[in-house]
Amino acid sequence: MIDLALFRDAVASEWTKLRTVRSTYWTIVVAILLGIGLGCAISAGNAHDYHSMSFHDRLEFDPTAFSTAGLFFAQLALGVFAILAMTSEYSTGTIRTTMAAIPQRGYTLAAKALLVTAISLVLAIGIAFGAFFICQQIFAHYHLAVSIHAPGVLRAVIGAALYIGGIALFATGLATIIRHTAGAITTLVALVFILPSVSQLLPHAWKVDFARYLPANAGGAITQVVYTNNDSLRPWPGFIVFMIWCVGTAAIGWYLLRTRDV
Amino acid sequence: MIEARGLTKSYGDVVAVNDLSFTVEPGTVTGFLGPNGAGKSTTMRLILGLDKPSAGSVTVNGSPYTTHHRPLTEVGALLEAKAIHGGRSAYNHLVTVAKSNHIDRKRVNEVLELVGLTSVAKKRAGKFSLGMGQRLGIATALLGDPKVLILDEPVNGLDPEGILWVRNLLKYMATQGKTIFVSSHLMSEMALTADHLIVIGRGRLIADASTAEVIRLGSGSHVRVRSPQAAQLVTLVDAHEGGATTQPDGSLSITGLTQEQVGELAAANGVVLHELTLATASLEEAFMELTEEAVDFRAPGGSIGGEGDAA
Ligand SMILES: Nc1ncnc2c1ncn2[C@@H]1O[C@H](COP(=O)(O)OP(=O)(O)OP(=O)(O)O)[C@@H](O)[C@H]1O
Ligand SMILES: [Mg+2]
Repeated sequence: MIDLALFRDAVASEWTKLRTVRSTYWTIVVAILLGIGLGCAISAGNAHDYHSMSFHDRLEFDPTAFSTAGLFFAQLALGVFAILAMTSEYSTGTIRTTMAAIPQRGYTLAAKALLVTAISLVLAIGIAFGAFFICQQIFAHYHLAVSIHAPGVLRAVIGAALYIGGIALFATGLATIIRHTAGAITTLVALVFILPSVSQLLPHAWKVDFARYLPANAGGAITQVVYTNNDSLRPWPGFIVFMIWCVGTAAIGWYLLRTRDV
Repeated sequence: MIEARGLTKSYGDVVAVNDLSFTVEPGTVTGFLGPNGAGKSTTMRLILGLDKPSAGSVTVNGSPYTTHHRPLTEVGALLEAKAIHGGRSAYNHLVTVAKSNHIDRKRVNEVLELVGLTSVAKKRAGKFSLGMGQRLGIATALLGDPKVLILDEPVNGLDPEGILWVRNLLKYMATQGKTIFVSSHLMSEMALTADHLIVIGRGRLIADASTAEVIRLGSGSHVRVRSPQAAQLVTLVDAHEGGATTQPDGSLSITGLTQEQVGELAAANGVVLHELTLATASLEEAFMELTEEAVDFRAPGGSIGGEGDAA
């Protein structure tokens, strides 16, 4: 049975932990700066280039995806935020105090996962909508703006935020498995930044069989309104595949946390 | 009360704790002694359910630690000094621990006061000295006003005033009926603090008895003699079932005979003595004697006890 009172205590304790270290604040500030700043820069660049683009590129032109593209980089900052919530306990030795205080270890992981996911999600919703509306002002100068009411646009903006929430959960799982800050960050970067780029170099057949199921590729589909690329999954199936990655990684972390020595 | 039965823990090929059985009773301070690497910290992690035993079991107040709910009012522990996020203040650190067990925030101020950290409670703990970190660790252990206190080398890094304070605190808590289990590798410190000692070496139990008993077990007192006719005296001692060894300074260390017997033996045979003293082994010597076969990290060149140790 789930002990809700115990879970509330775990959440209260983890909330205090997050509130009382500086890394929480600077990772959030960096996420906002990257999310909105880079979103604007990418939007401005593409809007400016539109008139010189080929017909094919114009077909793929996606003002919604450009406006929320900064979140792709903000995910790194929020991933670090999620990772530090777990690995800082190992690097400072507080993990033993934490695990002795609540021997039911799964509760601590659940509380950490809930908080970093919820904080990241709320923040990402703010960044996604903020970036969307600011960037549409930029596109409007070039008569390229899209409305939030246009088909698929609201889904893509919310989807970009949901993706970030998933990344926070994924990062928590990785951190619980790896238990080292640098190792967990390197793994996250490799999986969501490097692997997708490398996968672009793969032959077409491999992309269909393999690359589109990678976390960032599967989860990224939901952030797009315009599809011309048949290599990727559709938005919601892609998001389900992404959630399987996130929940699966967290589940492995949960299993290891409960069975390993601290 | 802490009860270990056949407690065993291996890390790969290393058997850190080997078939330990002991009981730590309430109302007394029980010292947990052993040389470096003896398995003290490992045993404490096993008690707290942080590591899983390879065999055997250990319970705290009747049940395994991992089955306790909100255990901090039952068991308080200090495992490592400075196990704290350097960017967090001592106060906030204690609040995070208090919240996890639904302990009143007022208690945080109480324990800070108790360990003497009130004035630095709001400062980032990264700048704390080892002694301050140790005090914060003790404050964390006391937070839930637990019935059982488990402390791994609590006086490590403390100044003399701090050591005295810990000693008195532990004794006081024992009089309150609490179970106090405290590790050290300093026999002399434990002799002043503990009523009962559990001594381990290489993960195995060496002694489990009252402090006085352990000191007696370990202390091979001997008679120290200096004589210009040492060789003759050695022959005489051998003939009377005693044992004599020549020390580096030329004196003889005689066991198996009392001070009086040695004196009379010498007089009866016309052996001149320049010195005849009873050398009682110090506490540290007693400890080393007990753990001699069980020292993992012996200094090169023989005995870690330095001079004066019975060979
Ligand atoms: N997590 C671990 N992995 C591998 N070996 C370990 C681990 N923990 C302890 N050991 C080994 O187990 C043995 C006992 O170590 P432990 O830390 O329990 O000793 P100790 O009595 O606390 O020593 P000290 O007085 O130095 O603190 C040592 O040989 C140590 O190297
Ligand atoms: Mg130790």
